[in-house]
Amino acid sequence: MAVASVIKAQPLVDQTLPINKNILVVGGGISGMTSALRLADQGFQVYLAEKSNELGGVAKNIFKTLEGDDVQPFIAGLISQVKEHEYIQVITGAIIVDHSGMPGMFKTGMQIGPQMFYRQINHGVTVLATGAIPNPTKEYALESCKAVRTQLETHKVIAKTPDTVKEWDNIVMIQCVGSRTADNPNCSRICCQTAIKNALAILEINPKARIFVLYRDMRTYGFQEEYYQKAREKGVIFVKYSQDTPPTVKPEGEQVEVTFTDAILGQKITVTADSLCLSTGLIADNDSSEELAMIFKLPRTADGYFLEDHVKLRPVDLPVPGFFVAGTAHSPKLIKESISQANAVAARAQTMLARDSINLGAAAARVDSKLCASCLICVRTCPFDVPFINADGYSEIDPAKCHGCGMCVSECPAKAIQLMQFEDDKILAQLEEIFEKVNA
Amino acid sequence: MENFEPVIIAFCCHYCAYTAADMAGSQRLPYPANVKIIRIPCSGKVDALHIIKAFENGADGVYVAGCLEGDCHFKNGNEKAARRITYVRNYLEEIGIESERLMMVTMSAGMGYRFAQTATEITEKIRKLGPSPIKIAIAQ
Ligand SMILES: Cc1cc2nc3c(=O)[nH]c(=O)nc-3n(C[C@H](O)[C@H](O)[C@H](O)COP(=O)(O)OP(=O)(O)OC[C@H]3O[C@@H](n4cnc5c(N)ncnc54)[C@H](O)[C@@H]3O)c2cc1C
Repeated sequence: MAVASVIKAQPLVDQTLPINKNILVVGGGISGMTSALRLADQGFQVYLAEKSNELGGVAKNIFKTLEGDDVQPFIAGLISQVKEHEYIQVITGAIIVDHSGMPGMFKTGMQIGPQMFYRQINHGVTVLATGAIPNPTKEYALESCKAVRTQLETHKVIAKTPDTVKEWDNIVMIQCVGSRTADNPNCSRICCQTAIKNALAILEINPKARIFVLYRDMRTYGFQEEYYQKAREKGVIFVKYSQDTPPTVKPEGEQVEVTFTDAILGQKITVTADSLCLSTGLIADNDSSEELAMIFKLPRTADGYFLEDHVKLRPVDLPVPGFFVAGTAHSPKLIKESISQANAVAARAQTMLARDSINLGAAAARVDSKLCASCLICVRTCPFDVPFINADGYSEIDPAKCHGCGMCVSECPAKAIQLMQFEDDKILAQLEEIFEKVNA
Repeated sequence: MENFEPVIIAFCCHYCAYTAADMAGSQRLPYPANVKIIRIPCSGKVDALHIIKAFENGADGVYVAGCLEGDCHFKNGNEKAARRITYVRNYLEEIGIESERLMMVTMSAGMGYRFAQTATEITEKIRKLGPSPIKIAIAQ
């Protein structure tokens, strides 16, 4: 089939356009700041647009990683480097409102600050690093009982008020809260290691504490496995529950009663916990990502994350040339994974920025003036108003402006237009080939 | 025509259904081999001619898979495609081919599951309809 179409292929000329070497980074979390710094260090002008009033993103609420690294000094360092960099302009309170132009020369408009004053930025590369948000689920008496917290809140208690942790005798953690459910089938990826991180930190402060982790599947991928082992050695009790019979929770004054079925004992166990920690994970910020996807015309996954052009071949590229994605805007990730991806984006973007022109491929429509009847159908059909009737009285399509959709081709009654790379004879050759096999 | 295996042509838009097919692959979702995919840059590029040629050659079913409403990469190619499909369906009825054999479906690039499910459902639907009148005529 493919061969039949290649036989009909004609020599093509790539369209090249000059490239504007400015970069727009949307989102000022760890990923956005990392990409911005890498690119600015190479001497490119970066505009970093952040929706909120400060940089840092979700990681501002994380104090330590599983490996024990301090996150806050790292973020503070990133923020000051970004703010002081001569090639980075930080725009906080920025809401992206419009976008136009073509690859290599984009124009993005935003409304800034409480006055909503409008500003337009010209850029050739766009990095989307808009992150994800803590899952706002309210299961298991999270709102009504003080002893119930998310893992993020627990992490804060451990870091800020360790004396509270000394008073906890029994701690229960429930995994997969609001993740891997019918409403949100996605795995949040970070929760297994977060539970282990918090459990080990609790035992560090209060070695006598009894910790139960109620899980559906533990996935401490890579070297995280060592910490899982360590947690088991230190006596953390891991109990599997099934999605059909989740633990039940009953607030009891300052404490909370958690009842679950132990598969080995085959019976129900009730623990009166001083703290119940829910691994609520993260979800895509649907409002934000849906709006950006509409403005920039980018695809998203069913869960609302931005979808890369190809999982294996182009993992940080988006389908529009010059668009890249980094961090949790793409899928749930640990901080170090977000940083790796942000660095990958900077490297990919530089392969474009190192050149003076951008290569757009050859898929542009071409008019055969001998066949053209100047009926104006293409002029009316084109969603981008590219075809025009030239001085000779025939339709003409500027290949540099053509987006390559082929709508004029299918509408043209005289068949005077062909879309290069997708010519009619190539499509028909594929059809013929399929049926040659089938009908043989 | 015993052991009838329908042949179905799927014109898939590069920005949605074609990527969704990739997604179905990486999610290890099976779909019937009866569906033969032809990649196009936009569902609005599918010509009435291509559809008719597919039937003429013996296709039992044809579908055009474009982006979700409002999501077209080129503004409105999917709407244009839907209108054209309605037109060609009427034409098919006129020449004695069941219009159910031609369909327009929409999905987004992330919908690997929907791609596999659509391919399976359409194959089953066409299998029930039986071989297309043209295919029967070719066989005789
Ligand atoms: C609950 C939770 C717990 C976590 N625990 C851990 C952990 O223990 N260990 C670990 O390594 N990682 C953990 N992570 C993951 C870690 O937080 C992320 O990997 C990292 O913060 C991702 O950074 P980011 O820059 O990609 O996104 P974010 O930090 O989310 O930053 C995105 C930024 O973009 C901005 N933004 C959003 N929309 C727009 C818009 N439309 N326009 C402009 N700006 C916008 C946001 O305001 C934000 O500042 C956790 C995440 C969550 C949610």
